[in-house]
Amino acid sequence: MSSRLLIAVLAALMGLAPMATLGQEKFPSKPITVLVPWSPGGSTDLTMRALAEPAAKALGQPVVVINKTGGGGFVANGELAKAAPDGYTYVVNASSTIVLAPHLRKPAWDPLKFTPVLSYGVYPFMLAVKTESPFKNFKELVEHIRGNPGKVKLSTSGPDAMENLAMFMLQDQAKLNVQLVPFEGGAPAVTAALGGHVDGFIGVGEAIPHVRGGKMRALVTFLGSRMAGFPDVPTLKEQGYDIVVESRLTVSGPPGVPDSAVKAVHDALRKAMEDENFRKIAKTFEVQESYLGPAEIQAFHERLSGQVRETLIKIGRLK
Amino acid sequence: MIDGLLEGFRVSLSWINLVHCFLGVTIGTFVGVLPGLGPAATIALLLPFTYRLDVTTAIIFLAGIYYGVSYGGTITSVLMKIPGEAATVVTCFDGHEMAKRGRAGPALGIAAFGSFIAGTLGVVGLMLLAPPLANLALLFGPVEYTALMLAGMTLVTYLTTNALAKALTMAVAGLVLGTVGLDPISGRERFTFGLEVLSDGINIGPLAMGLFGLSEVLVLAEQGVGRADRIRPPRGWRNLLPNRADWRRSGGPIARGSVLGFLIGVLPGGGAVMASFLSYAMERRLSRHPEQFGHGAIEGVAGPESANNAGTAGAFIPLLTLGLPANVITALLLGAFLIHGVTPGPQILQTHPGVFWGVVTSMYVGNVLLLILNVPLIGLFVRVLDMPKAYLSPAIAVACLVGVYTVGANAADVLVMVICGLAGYLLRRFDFDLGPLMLAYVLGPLLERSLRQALIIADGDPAIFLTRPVSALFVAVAILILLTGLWQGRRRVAVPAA
Repeated sequence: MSSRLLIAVLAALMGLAPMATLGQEKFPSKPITVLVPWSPGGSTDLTMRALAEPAAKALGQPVVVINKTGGGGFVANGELAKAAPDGYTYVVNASSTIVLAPHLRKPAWDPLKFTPVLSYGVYPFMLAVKTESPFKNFKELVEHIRGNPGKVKLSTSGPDAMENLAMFMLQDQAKLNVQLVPFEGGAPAVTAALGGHVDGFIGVGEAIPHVRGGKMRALVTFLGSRMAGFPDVPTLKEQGYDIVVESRLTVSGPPGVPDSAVKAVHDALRKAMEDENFRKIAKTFEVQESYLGPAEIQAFHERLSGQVRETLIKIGRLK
Repeated sequence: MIDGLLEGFRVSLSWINLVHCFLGVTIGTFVGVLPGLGPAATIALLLPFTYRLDVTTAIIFLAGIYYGVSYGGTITSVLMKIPGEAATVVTCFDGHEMAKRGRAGPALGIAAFGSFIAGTLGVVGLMLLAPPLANLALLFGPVEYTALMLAGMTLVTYLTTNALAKALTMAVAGLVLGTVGLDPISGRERFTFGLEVLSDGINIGPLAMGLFGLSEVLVLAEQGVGRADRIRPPRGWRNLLPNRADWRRSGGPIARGSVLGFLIGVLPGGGAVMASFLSYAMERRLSRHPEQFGHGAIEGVAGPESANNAGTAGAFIPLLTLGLPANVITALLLGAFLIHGVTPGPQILQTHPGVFWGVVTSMYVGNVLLLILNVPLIGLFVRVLDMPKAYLSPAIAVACLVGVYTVGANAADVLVMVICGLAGYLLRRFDFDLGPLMLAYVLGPLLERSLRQALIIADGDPAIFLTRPVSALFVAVAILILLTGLWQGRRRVAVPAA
């Protein structure tokens, strides 16, 4: 505990440190903080921690990863919005905290104004059923849904997650009627699918060990291309639907970080993506290694944010 | 299986695994003692350090932290009325009362022995019953869960000596507290009054530390303790351990707590917290002298402490045999397995027998280590009580404040705890028991979520709770508990009248 406390105290002190030295010394001249908006131990936390070590070597300063949980990511993001744009504070976000939750909860900051630095991966994303399920492929499931509107139930990791939204997009485009059953996190949602309490699971990484172990069958992925570890699972696009939903892991700073600092951190993280340990962790959780630079991230999020907004209005969740 | 067991002990008793097991349970004990920081955060933070270890060693180490915590958590609950972690909140009810009566030693002793017995029974259960019980985890969906929570909820009035109206008021307060935050199905914010602080709901850490720890400080402050005032710590070796009468009273609770905790541990979402509360309520219900509960009844320590420990062993069943984590901590352990390239599941006994048996037998070893670690230290721990209350109170206050902050580095949690502390003080001044509030707070959100999930699954038809056999069974249990309660209530009223 004491080390965590120490880090927290250090972080607080760093926030108070005067900016007088900015621009006079070589960047970085003190440790860099990356806030993880979720609990330790998840794929976001573990991949970021794996990147921090090699990135610190490249930067010549420690990269301190702190889990600042709460408010579905809003506590960490609220802190980022208020942080000094000196290049020493960042948050690693999933796209949903940038393009989805803000539409619904109207925070005091605009997440599209954050300074994007680097995106290092895409969360896996699939619709899976248990092996004994009668649905051998996605087409069979869709036909069954068509014949039984409202009868097919799919578990998700919670309300207002990207996967729910993706499913709404699909329902809208394909004129399908499916019932989503939100659980508290992906693990119980997968358990419900394995126990036959729902017809299938739609979500991120939790089904992966069961698909690998042969207890579940992935029918389709919502990503733009097939997942590295599951080359046999088709994309929604290949199935004839014009839908791509990708949630990216993105490191951003507060609005207005100077370009020189962004470049230094970006280059260090880009180099860290080659690290063997990072690649192993990413592979374990099937986080798709995929790089985007600052400008591409901005374009990606602006486009996705618009799509999400449109869908939310369609389903009556937003006016 | 004998071969497996021998192979397992060969693995778990190798010096490197023994050292890591010892490290794990020691860290676990300390994490349990420190309020705020729970096993989940600790395991998550130490996870990256296990990448370089062999998979069996890594899991033995991390699992040691997990079951070690429930030993350590008792200590602050008993001595200072601060729950060291969520699963020992219940121990505050009677454990601290025992300490006030100079019986801190027996309280800690029975908790340690109860934990040891339950932990060991749990591992035996894990070994013998893993495959059949694994299906229990799959059997419980939202429908079955709703009925189980309903049965748990009917125990609420058994948590208190208060009049029914008072108990139900507190239960409703607990239910209301549990609804704050995001709606579990629609995701909309509710009862947050637009405050960012409340959008996550009210967490059990700040709530329990405020209601119990901080309110205790305020009660002590009101009493205006003198400089030399102190709780008498027990003197002499005999008074440090449970006596024969204590053992006689604790046997049943330990046995029942072990079985109950083990079964609840197997269920998805079930955990040590729920197991300990249900065990407490059950012991009160069964006790021949329920009026002693809340005033230092040793059954109220023995049962829940056994239940929370057996629960940890139970949670390993779905993890090891199905690859299904039943709670946050086993989800982290699953991550650890995966990073090391081992996928737990039905095949684990064939593909990695050394890992399976090594981890299982290490839990026997770990429980023995914990007993050796904890029992001799009782004499040392109770010395804390030797501190004059004038110094002990500020120490409790600081421990609560720092503990809550370390969990999420979130100042708002501290604020919530302080408010809960004031509320707890007022409630205690007006003689409201906090038990029903805590039970309703723990079970309420689970009941709501699974009820609404079940109704989505059933297309809105509530008959599903009676047509599914497991669910119908628990509904019957709930009705039975309510009916016998009514009958006893009438008898209790009738006696003074006669």
